[in-house]
Amino acid sequence: MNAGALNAVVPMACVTAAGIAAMLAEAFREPGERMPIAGLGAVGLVGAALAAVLLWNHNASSFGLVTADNFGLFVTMILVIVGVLSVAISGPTVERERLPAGEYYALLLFALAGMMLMATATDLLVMFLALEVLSLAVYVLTGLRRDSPVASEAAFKYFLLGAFSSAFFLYGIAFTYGVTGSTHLDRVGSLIAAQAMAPTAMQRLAAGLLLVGFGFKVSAVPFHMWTPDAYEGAPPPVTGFMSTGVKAAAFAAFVRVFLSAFEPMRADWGAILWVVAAATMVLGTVVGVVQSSVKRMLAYSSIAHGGYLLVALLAANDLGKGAVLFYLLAYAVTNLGAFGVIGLLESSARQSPATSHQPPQNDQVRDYAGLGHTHPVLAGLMTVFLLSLGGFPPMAGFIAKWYVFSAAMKAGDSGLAIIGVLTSVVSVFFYLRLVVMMYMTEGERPATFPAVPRIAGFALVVSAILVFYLGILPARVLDWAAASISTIF
Amino acid sequence: MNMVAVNHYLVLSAMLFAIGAAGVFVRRNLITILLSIEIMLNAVNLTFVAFGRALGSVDGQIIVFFVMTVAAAEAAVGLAIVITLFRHKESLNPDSFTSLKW
Repeated sequence: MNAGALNAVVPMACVTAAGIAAMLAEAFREPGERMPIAGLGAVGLVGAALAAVLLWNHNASSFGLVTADNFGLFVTMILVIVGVLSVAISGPTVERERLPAGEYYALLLFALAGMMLMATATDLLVMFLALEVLSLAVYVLTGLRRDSPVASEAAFKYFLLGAFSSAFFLYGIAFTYGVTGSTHLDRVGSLIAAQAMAPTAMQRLAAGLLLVGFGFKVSAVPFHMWTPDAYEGAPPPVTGFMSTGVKAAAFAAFVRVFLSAFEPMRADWGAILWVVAAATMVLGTVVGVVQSSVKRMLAYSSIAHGGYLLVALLAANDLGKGAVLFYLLAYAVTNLGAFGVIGLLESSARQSPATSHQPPQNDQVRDYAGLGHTHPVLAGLMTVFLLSLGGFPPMAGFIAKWYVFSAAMKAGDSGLAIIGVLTSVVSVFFYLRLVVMMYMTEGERPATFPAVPRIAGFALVVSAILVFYLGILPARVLDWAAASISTIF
Repeated sequence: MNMVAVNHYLVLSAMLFAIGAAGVFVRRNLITILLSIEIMLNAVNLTFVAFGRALGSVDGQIIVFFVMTVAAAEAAVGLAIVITLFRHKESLNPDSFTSLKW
């Protein structure tokens, strides 16, 4: 075995090394000594980004289990952006909530390594292991505020349903193995293609169980129950991290499994997924309208966005496949920005220890009243992110949705496109409600917000710039997305 | 001579999986719910071993080792979360945890 055989795992190795370094730094830290642990994470992520750039177009493969094709590398780059922004916006929350910094950043980095592995795995067993690596880290991150009953409860609900869905996913892998004698996606794909005319009951069972497993991870209806609770209970930067990172990794694996290996059985799973996509968009939007908590509202919005991604996956034409990648990137930048703002506002209200046993403060829509006057910059950034989530031009969200719906129209699926456009219009209502609250309602009390830390503020500005860049000049990124998706299909 | 065909194992493991899945929803104790999830994972293990034997390949048995490792890690994290929950409410009944709407 030559050293080149390890090339494809270099990005996740960088991130894992940074995670281990973060753990060691915490272990050897003198009490009270401050260490730049977040900086370590950033170094590892930059290393991963460099490795991904160098591996571009090389189609490197390690052990036949991990393939760094351009599709996987594009998702890796999205995950690096997610990681850098999450690390940058985590600082204020970690400090104010007195979370253990070493554990926090180490878990974040291990979760990222699992996500990168999931995006590049070409073997179902490795995909399962990657899924568990990322899930276990994210369960712990959700419950890291141990003094808060809400956080523990959210972590348990997330853990319970996550472990439950992993069992289904694994059962699906077992049947795939039984039918084809292999867990390798290439072999699985060729054997399923050979019997595509008349799939056996066991093949259908395998596809169905895998669909349930992926459905839980991308929080598609009817497997979405954990999402609002987990998103509400977790610290805001973690919510931003898991709503974007876990979604990106899960959709990358979803696309890889269902548009390559199980593509020949499309007639069997296509109709089910159509109903799931429609239900996900409608439920996410309709229930989102009645929420009074900002984090729960964004959780239902995240469910609805999962539905739009499913529409792009179902369209399955070149436009749709490119749209999945572009949408994941646009959503990652936008949503992390929004949760960064929420994190700054929420943590600023929790400074007195007496409130630590209460549910998260500053989380209700009415708490945002008058923010446009008391903190115009944060309110302006939040407005940009919310409008992008709602799909206003010229923000990233508009282009992303436009490509998804035009892909659906091109695939002849006008029904889903119409449902998608209608639910987007409805969703604008609850995004705008928050904007109206910030600018046109007087706050009850003179809210005091501490100065925004420089790194977090910088990250938010960068997110906003990226939102406009992807919205105004999307051509180059779209070309990359289209080019990278063509390497696996 | 092969009295027990692969289908018998598959039916048994499907039954175990169903028992585990039902236990997650029916039982009213957090520890029992965790055990139900372990039953589901072990049902899958049985499926892997049965298929591995039927196909005459050793892959199925090797996969089980990975799954067992993952199950152990999952149990550790799950129990840790249950302990933090118990410290808040001194209860293992899932109905007593209602800070978040389901």
